Amino acid sequence: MSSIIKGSLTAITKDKNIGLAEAFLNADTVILVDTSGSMADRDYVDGDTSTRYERACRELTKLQNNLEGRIAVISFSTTAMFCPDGKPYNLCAGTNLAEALRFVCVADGVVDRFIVISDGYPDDGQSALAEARKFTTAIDTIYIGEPGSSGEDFLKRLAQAHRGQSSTLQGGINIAKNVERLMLAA
Amino acid sequence: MSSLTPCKDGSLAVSTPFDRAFVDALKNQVPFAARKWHMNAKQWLIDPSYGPAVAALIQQYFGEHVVVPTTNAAVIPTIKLIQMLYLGRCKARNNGDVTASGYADGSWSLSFPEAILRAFFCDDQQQDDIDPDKPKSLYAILGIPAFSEAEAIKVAYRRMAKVWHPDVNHEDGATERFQKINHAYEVLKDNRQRRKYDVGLTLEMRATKKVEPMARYTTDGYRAPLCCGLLLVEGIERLGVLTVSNILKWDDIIDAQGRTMVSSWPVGAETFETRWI
Repeated sequence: MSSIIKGSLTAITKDKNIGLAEAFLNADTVILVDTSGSMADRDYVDGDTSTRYERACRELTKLQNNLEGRIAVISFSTTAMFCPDGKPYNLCAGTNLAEALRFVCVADGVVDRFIVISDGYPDDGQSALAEARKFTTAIDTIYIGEPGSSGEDFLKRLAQAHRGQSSTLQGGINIAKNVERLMLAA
Repeated sequence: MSSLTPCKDGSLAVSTPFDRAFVDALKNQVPFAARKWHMNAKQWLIDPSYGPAVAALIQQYFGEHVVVPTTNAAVIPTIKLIQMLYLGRCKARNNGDVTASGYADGSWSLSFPEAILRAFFCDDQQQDDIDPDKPKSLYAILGIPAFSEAEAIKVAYRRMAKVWHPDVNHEDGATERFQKINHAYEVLKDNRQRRKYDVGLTLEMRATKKVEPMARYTTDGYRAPLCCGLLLVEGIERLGVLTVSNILKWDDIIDAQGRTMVSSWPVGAETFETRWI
């Protein structure tokens, strides 16, 4: 059983003795975290030997600690899962972004933004773009893979098509600061 | 004059003069689940399979020979319209079932399995793991299905507020329950908030792990949101108790002046009280 991140939706339910659905009332951002197999890669940025997944988890922890109850975490790989405890489940398979967008589209129109954090091109880019076209809420993207790849280009296009902003943060450095900037700019 | 008389529900009514030793012997011979003392009729109702044993006891204690009548062994579900004056809290019974007793027709003649009550009031916690302290959904607090529309929410709120207002309901926990009802309505009456709450509920349902269905109903003390009413129920009657298998309808009891009956069992009181509001 994963530990509960301070500031996550589950932590809020326990602090306030309310249900998860009620805790979600204050969430304004849904973060979709790629936990495909490539997230086990290490980028050795600044000598850090963490995998991209481990780095992303640390950054999400910081984020939720600072912005209590405002973030809903979704982990996606071949499938998508809601992670109310705050730590994305490490699914370690493909990159089915289309499925992840279908999973979260229920929140379209009720949250302020979606943020996709990924390190690569999705399994089916066209399907992902088609799903994203149905959204009315802005979709931001944060690319954390090798700069200059097709995945980076795809995420830029996805954000541009949906009034979102795109960023490249190799190795996942400063995800928390970047997301806070996006949320404050909203 | 002692007798064994067949009842409509297939049980046998035992009529004898009062004798403490006979009563003790009957209790020893007939298991708890197979007998019931009928308060109003002042007689024992027993499972017909124990007819010969009880006839032997009557012979032994009263010197009377009674004929054991044949009974209709077929158990046929019945549908009944019942004015129930009070429904208690669910409790674990001797046979392991968790049920709430209902008072109607002058006796505690109704038995509601917890699962039946929860299903009717949409208080099914099966989407989550076993946690008796887990907060109910706001819809469950109002006793309506999740994702109900605005009008249904308003109607449910008015009904619950009437039943649980601390001025009329003196049960333990009534004030807290009333506050929760108000809070649930405050959130759900606003369309935007309700829509967001529904999204949260959808995500919550997706995140929940399945559990063993039986394990959930080991919790004691479930309290249905309504305590009285005019009910249309389906069930099987046995030993003078109708065990409800399906609640078809649950309306308020309304008098000729248009007032609604509410009932509660005040803390420390010997019985429940009813009043019209």
